[in-house]
Amino acid sequence: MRNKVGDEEERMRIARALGMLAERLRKLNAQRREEVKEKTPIVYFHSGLGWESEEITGTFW
Amino acid sequence: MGAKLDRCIAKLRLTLPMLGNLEGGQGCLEELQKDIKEIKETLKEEILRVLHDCPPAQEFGQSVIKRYGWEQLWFRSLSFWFLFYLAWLWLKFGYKPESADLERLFKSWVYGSFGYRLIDLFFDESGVDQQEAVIGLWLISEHEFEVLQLFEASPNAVVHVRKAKTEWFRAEVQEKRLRGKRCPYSDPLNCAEKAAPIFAFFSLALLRYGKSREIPLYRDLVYKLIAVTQLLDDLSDLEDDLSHGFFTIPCSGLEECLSQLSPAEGAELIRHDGERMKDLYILCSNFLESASQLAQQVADPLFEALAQHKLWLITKIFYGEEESDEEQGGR
Repeated sequence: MRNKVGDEEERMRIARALGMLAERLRKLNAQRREEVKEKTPIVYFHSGLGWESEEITGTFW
Repeated sequence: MGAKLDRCIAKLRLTLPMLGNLEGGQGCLEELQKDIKEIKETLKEEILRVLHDCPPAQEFGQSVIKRYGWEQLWFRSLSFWFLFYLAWLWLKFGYKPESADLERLFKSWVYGSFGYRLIDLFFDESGVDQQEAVIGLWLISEHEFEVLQLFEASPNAVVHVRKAKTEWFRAEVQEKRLRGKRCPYSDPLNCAEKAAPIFAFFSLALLRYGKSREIPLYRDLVYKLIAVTQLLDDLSDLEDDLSHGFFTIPCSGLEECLSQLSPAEGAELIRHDGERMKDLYILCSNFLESASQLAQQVADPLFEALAQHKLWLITKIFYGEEESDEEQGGR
């Protein structure tokens, strides 16, 4: 089932890029969580912001 | 068979390297999103094609999509998880399903997603055609047939598929049993149980590639990601859920009070309860931090980036955009 390892380098390159992305986001998230620590959330939720909304499922794409 | 599907997935693989270009949380992703949008449009055509081949009722796909629309039939989550799964199979195992396997995999995702959704709609919405529920049951069994063919129906694989189905039905029974009474989940993570059939795809691949020891870690990781989506969905669907008598996690402890209010008043009460909203944000962000750590444990940068990206997203949903340096400097 496994394909021949012809694209190993490409996979590794993407994995490294994703790792770097996660690291950048981790730093950003830690900073944001600290900023909002004492704050009360805004009321943003509305009907239609569900499983099918961009905001919720629109992760990478 | 699915020549279009083949081309569409080949395009996904060409597009994936762009993930490495995401910057900050903003993601300068116009090109990637444009490509994915085109892929999704092709997926819609391909979904109609495989539903057209549905033996119990030819041309069933057209009518069901016309009736409910893509959105109600969970197209966005189906297309996201299917494409994510293909990316994961490649990055984790170096496996790129071609033609026949890809067709089988696609059918399995489509049949599973539509099958479970049709059963769900049958119970929760009024005026649902009975034949759609019957077709839903057939689609679920066909989804299992396809996925087991693909992952070489070993006894272990059969057990995993059965476990996922049981978990979905148990969650559905619990939801119906406690309708109008209380929230069915004592542990918030359990709200992800209805996504067990999604997780089955991941567990079967882990099993197939000799990584069964990672299954519990992946389960925890996938369920935490899905629980967050479910919690956000519950918050946005409060009016609808309350009008159907469903008390979801954001309603916990308020059931008695909510049963005296109209759905709109109930939803308003919850969304303006700052402490409750803060607790929900903390619950979601803790799930996502934990999911990210689990992804690190199994050396999975795709899931790790997804968890961190979702964490960035939920902070934006609960608290709005971050302040720019300029705004902060001006204060």
